[in-house]
Amino acid sequence: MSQPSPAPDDAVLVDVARTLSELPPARLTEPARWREEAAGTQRPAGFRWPVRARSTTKWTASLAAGALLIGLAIAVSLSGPTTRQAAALPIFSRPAVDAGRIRAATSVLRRNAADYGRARAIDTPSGRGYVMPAGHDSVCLAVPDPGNGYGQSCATQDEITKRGLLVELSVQDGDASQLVALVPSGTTGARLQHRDGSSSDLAITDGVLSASVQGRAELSYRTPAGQVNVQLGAPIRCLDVSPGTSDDALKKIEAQSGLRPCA
Amino acid sequence: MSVYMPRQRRIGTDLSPKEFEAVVEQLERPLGLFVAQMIRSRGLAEDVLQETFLVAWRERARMPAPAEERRAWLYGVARNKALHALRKGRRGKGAFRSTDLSEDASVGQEPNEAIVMRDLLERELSPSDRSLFVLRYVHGFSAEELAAVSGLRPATVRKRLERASTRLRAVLQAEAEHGTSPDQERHHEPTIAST
Repeated sequence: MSQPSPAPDDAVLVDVARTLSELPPARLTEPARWREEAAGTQRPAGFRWPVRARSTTKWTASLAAGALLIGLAIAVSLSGPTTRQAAALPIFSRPAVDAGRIRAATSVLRRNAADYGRARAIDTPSGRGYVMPAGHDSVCLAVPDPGNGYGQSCATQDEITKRGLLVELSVQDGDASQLVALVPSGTTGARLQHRDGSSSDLAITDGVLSASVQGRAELSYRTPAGQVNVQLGAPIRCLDVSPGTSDDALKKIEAQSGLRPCA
Repeated sequence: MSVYMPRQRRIGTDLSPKEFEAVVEQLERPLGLFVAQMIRSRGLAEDVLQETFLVAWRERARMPAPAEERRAWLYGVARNKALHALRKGRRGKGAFRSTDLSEDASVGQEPNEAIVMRDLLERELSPSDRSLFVLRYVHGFSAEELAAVSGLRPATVRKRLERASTRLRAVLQAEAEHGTSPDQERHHEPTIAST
């Protein structure tokens, strides 16, 4: 094996290589999937069914495979991203990951029958978040809260196609906030307008944008359905409660927070 | 008269989880660096690394036993996974790329200069050429090894490396002459994402 090898007199390439080497490596986040699979399947590498065993178990195997396919089709139709979701929300073009480890910390997602096994990982300013399909043609977004737990939001695909789905995390007694938004295919012109007149363009990667915001700002972007403007850092005026929340629960929330549910 | 012998390949059959763990420990960091150099999104890069070791575990019967060949084989898997992920990312073509370092999800963890350099390579080189360039000049693979990894002919690899190097030299020199660093270049108008 040769050594890292730009020609010694080629200072430009040496500099490029040195600079690129300063990037922190991606890490194998736990649980490592190979290790999970190794723990579950202890068949030796290169394992093949013996020919005789294969022939005697052919029908059993075929039936099992058929049942598995039907089961998978039902599971996908119940809670996986539908073809329509995948077309409308580019995030679903990413490989699915299992987000089961955040189940306990995400009650809103659980109530919306989120499918943790078909989550898509996203980058957020506070770490790894997830987008996942949920019941009733909904999609949920979970963003790690630097304080504790996750900021969570769910909406139907129709709503997201029109306006996007946003989670804003505000620091208590401060004016810093973080936002992560899931936007539909064809969304452009994502921009953050700050109070001091400055502005910055936001990257949309696979239909997800994120930013850290200091003070009040306005987030704007254009979906195929129209222009969307969101005030950030504004005082909370109403509470976004999950559809289906009981009247008793609503009254309790109102009493505790002093806020009314958003219309 | 020359006698040609068939090339013997020792294959790492029946690697136990413990033995495979040793391979992971040895190569997680360099492979993680490679995918981070190829892919901007931290989450996606981590997914690619997961996929690389998962595929390697499943295909361990085909993994060469000699350390150097094994290393090249694993880099080949990582390269294929990274290129596949980047191809899938093209579906989002037309999305605006960030022009502000603060919008990079990994800000605070990655040195700005390195981010700028990765963006420069992303802008100027195709994913395939970028992978060859990075594997050659950062990870030290020879053109012959890269040919084996990529399935290209060594001459094609050399040609592509030369083309990529020439392109990068020209861009960096132009920026130096015009007084604009790659860092300042980022604050120009948004560009259409190329990957």
